[in-house]
Amino acid sequence: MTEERGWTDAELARLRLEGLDRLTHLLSGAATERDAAELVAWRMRSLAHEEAFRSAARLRRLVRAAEGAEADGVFGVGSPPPLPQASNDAGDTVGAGDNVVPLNLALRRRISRRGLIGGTLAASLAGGMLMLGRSLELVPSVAELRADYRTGTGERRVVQLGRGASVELSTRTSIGLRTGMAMPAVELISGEALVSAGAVGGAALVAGRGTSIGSDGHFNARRDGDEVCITCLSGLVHVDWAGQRRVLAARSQVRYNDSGIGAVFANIDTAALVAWKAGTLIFRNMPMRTVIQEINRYRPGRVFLVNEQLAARPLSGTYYMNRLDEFFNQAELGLGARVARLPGNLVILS
Amino acid sequence: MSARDVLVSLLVSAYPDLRRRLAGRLGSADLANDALHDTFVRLHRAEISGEVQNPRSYLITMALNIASNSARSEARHLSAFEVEMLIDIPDDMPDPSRAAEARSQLAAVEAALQDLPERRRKLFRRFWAENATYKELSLEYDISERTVRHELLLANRHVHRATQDFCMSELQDRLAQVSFK
Repeated sequence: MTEERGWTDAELARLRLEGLDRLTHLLSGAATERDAAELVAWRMRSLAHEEAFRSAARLRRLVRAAEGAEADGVFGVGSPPPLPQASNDAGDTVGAGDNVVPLNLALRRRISRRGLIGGTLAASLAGGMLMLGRSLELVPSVAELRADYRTGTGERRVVQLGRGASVELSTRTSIGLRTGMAMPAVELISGEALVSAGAVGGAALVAGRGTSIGSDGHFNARRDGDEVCITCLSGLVHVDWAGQRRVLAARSQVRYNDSGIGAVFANIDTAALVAWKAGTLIFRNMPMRTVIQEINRYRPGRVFLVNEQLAARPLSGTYYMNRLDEFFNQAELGLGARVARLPGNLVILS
Repeated sequence: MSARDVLVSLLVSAYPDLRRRLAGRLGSADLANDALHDTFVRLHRAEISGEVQNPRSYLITMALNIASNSARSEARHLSAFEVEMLIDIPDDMPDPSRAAEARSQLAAVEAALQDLPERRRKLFRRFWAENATYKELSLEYDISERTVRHELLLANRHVHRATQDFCMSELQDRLAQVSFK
């Protein structure tokens, strides 16, 4: 899952045609929720699958432009076709212009999860999980699917931003590219990313209501819902949250959410924080339940911990992400935990 | 041990047997797996009060309920809004220097459409540009939905081939934009 291979033109062509046929089925009027889930699973199989789907969607725009279906968008791009007026759960109407406005992301996420996967099915799965192929996975939100760059479970990816700046995405991370700022900028939609400023001009990361600018050096950003954590690794980072400012020097960290921004904490264990960059996980006296939470981010499927005493046990150790099952062997031998391995990469620790 | 703990332990320890029984009732091992996973997850969110007299039977009943609810919701057709949400992709505005490229892409599509036999071309147009459904088209043209689908797939193939060259290079470019460690 971590290595993305090169694709030949012939393979991509096959994928794109498959994407086109799937798009056709989706638009046929006969598509069901199960079809929606299968489409999501197909797109998630690899970056090439996602890009093939987008290529099919762009072809649709071209066709619509050729047939004069769109008023503007001569070249097949421009504003997407207007959405039919629809209500969300709260009864507010959502209109066409809402597409490209980040403010509505949370609203769309809520609509999409219920609407796409269906009330009962979504409600019956904790945290909106879904059987995808042979694995139990989190359903990505529409915002995450629409991201310019996305990583799957256990993947890492570097994206060059221009002017020497780059951003490295950790597992299950979605970012959008931002324009209109004086320097290379990204929006962190979900997950964790490490931003490296270039030699000239720095780099910015927008997440929720905060904007973090690294003028030189590197910083780590992590977003869980609307909780954001910014850690300076080297150089300086200026964080602006609705006019409130924080300055982070190396090994300093600040957290914020939609309601406020906290104080700066210094002396952060940055080695453990960015161990993911090297494909490892480092825990230092971390309670087992938090360890399992972290492992679940990097590992396909899901680990459930059903023993309260175990949950509180502090653990320390270093593990390779692509060998996380060693962790379970150690839990069994070292902690006397019972490990039940179920299909779909489910593990139950008790 | 709480009632919930009893149920969870039983689910884990008797998993193969439970799955076998459910597969018989639901018609496939896959459905049984799905139902048991959902049951496991639901157990962790549920309040289970009092004693459960027959845990095994409780689990089977719970799994069957979940499966039938799933089946009903999964078979639900998507609304037009949901479909638009699903196919919504990031807007990329071409820069002016690519306008010529975009024009030639458009020309390629137009040429490909001219090539199609008339009925197929009309079906293609009604479907892609005018949002007609299979059902509407089958009524309009007095053909089965299966035929509608078949015609569209053939038309897709044709238009795909006509646009393949520039699409493949565009795809390769996009995939190459990310580098891996």
